Amino acid sequence: MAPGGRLSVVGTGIRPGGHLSREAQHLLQAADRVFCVVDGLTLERLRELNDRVESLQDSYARGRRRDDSYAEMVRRILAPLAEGLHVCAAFYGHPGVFVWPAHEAVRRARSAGYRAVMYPGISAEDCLFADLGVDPALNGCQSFEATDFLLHERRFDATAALILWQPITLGDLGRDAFESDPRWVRVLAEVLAEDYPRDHPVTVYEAAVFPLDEARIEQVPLERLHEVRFTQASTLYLPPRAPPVLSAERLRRLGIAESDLTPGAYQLHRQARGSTE
Amino acid sequence: MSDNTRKFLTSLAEDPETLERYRKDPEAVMNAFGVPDDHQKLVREGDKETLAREAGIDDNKMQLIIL
Repeated sequence: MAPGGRLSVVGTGIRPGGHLSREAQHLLQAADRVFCVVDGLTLERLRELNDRVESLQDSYARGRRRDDSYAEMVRRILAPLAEGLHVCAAFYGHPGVFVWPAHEAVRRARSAGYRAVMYPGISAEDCLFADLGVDPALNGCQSFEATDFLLHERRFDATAALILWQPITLGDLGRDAFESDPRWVRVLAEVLAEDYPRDHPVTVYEAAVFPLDEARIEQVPLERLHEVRFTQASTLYLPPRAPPVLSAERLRRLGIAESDLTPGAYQLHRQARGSTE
Repeated sequence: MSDNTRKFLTSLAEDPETLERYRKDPEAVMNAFGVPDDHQKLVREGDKETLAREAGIDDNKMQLIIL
């Protein structure tokens, strides 16, 4: 028989309270213990729902390796399962998007025989699509962690959108700082300039978190990317360089001609705009 | 600590209609929530840190990176 403890992992979204789903609220109310990595306003909201809320923010410390912080978070989340309790772990945004300890907690709970379920939340990427007016279906969309993108040989498509996450960590070799190294940002721009014009627009995006904030939407040419000040909330968005090219070889293999195709409204829009959507 | 300021900030975050009303007439919305004058000044100045502390919202200096 499976042990009695149970883990629910939820996302609280980006806007404090406003993005909290009904299912997340039910789980947060019903849980025996709640652990969270959220902003101050959301923490208040969680405390209204449950009086056994514990913030995991104190697992972070300046100069401490982030992976040590995450390991501690996972230990704290999993400990009450052995007492047969229902634990709810709440992370800002989507708990499965750029959240190592959330996935790790689910994996470990399941391997120990506990029931563990992850519930989606509104991610920063969801806010980006809304705030920048970008539909990932229009040109396709590729998403990479910025440092991981820079350090590895990637085959990506410059005719699709490109999103690079957490550029603040560029140059953070020890995974213990929260500040980017301008030299790494320059090299990233040089690497990107192999596939994009040097004046290609790069949008530095930050979703609005605090109620009085507006989203940060700052466009810079690729060659001046190193001048930008990043925060932990910064994301880079590069529109496609040009629309995709129809494959004559694939049309031939399919036994059809271009005139046989009925382009969708989104494809006509894409062709009309040319690029940099 | 001010419950009214906290309710005002929470409402702006949760309710886009309140936010729209605030954008059109900030003073009227803050007065409707009973936000004290010194907190209204902090809002106008965009002093988020003091505002969060004054409104009793702790843990506001959060780390965002979780990967």
